[in-house]
Amino acid sequence: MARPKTLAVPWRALAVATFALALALPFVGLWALASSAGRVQRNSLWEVRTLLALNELGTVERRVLEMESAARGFLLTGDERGLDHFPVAQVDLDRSMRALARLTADNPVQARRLADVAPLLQARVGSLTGLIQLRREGGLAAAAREVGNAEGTRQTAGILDLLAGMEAEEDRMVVVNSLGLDRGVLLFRRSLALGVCAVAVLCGLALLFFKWGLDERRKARETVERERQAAENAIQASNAQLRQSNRDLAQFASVASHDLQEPLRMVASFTELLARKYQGRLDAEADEYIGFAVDGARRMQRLIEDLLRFSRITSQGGPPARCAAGAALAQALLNLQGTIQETSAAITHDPLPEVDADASQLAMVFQNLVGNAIKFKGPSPPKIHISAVKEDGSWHFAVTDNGIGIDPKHHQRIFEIFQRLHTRAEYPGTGIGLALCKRIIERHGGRIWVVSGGAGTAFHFTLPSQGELP
Amino acid sequence: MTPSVASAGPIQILLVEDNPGDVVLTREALRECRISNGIHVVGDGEKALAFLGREGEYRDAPRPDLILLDINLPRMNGIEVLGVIKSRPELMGIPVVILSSSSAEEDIIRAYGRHANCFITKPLDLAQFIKVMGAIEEFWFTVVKLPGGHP
Repeated sequence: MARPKTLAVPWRALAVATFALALALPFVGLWALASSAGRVQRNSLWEVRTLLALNELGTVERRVLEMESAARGFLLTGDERGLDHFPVAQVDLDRSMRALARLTADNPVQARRLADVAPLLQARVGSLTGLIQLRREGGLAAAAREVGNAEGTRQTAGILDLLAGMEAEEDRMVVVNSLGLDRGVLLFRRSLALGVCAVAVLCGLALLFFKWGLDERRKARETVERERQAAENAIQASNAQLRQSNRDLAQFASVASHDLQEPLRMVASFTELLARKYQGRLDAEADEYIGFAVDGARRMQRLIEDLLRFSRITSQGGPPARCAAGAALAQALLNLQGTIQETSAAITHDPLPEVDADASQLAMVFQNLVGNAIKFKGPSPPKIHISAVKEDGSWHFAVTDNGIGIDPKHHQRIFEIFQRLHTRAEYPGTGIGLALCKRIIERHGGRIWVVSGGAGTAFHFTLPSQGELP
Repeated sequence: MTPSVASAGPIQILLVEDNPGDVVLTREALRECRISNGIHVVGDGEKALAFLGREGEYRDAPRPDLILLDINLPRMNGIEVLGVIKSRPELMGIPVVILSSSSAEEDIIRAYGRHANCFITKPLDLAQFIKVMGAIEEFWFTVVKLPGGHP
């Protein structure tokens, strides 16, 4: 079965169309039958008419001859009784001629011949009537003279010739008609056989198209199934990859907590021991170098600790549970108590709802955001407000301050781990805080972003939750 | 109660530590706290148990008043050593302070699960480390009342 592979053939439509054609064909056959039946009927009619015409032609011939012989008898005998039949034959002749005119009206050849024969007949009847009259008045001798010129005989021969021609034509018509009839029947039989064959072939084709359509559909389904299977395999592969990478990350966290800390502690402790023991006994430069080494080791320690905290958000975070956001904020403010007092920060908040979250991680978010608001304060004491608005399916929190603000071009960067906008001398810190917040919020299915033009910053975040205000 | 031998004279501390750096640091810290004498150092868990059992080269070893036990030790780690100490009636009375360079939750849980007397994360800061050592000394030798008593 050679079928185009790439082109989509509408097999079903083809099948339906072919089947419809197969159904329609018998009706075409019926119509053909009806019309051929009409033709057969017409042919039969013609045949009858031809036979009638032949009959009438025979009558005309007989009557002419009868009148002729009646006239001759009277001419010879003068016996009036011999003429009895003459007017009857004349009437019959006229009737037959009229009948012939009717029967041959649709055949121009016969009509012309009839037109030719009619005056001849009239002339012959006239001449015979004239002869009879002559015999009555002039006697046998006068009539014999008239007969002797053989004019009448020629007339009669002409008439018979024409009539014979017409008979031959009608005979030919009989043959033509019966041939037509046979052809019609033959044609009908052949058409019937052909029609049955065509219907069978069309039905077969329809079935074939239908089957191909089904095949095509099955193949399409199989293709879809194969593709789905492939996609599933790809997902499983990438899931396995993800699990492996999570394991690697956990491994890294463990390495960082155990194995990196140890040598770092050695570096830090012994530089400090050096400083302790030899402070002032070396020169000022040596003291400075020791200071750098100690500071570097401490910073590295903090970075490792921050990295660990970052990786523990997902590896050690608890499942979200219903908890009071207000309690989490209170915990955060308690942890920040010292700095809040030092900076005389004024912190206010809306009534806070209950949310579905890991309470200690939520506290961590508040602590980082409020802590940042205090850390990046403007010249006046920090004013910080925490708001909460319910949106469909989640709570929308915002921590707004009157601090130094953040240039919009840094709004993306600040959420990346260890990204800082200031030197350590200006503001201390590793740059973990906002990355931590983002990881926590995203772990809970929320979103965090910043709104800040010039002065003042608002950190917004959402937490999907059905919780209400307590 | 466990049979115990009250040690006369200076306080005896057994430090089980494989890292020479930490040995030096601990010695320094203890010296700053003026507990320089009576510090015995072994480098792995098996030696620690030999010391406590007075086996082989440790035939004349004193019974320590306090054990400072590192977790990451070769051959037999600190948690295993702790398990053995706390399962022997003659040793279970000796306070064991677990020292770890990590603050990993699972280490802490395992240590207390084997009856460690306390778990301390070695501070990065030297000053802090010295302070911690001072606190250990202060707590275990002056605050706490131990079986057998101590002068």
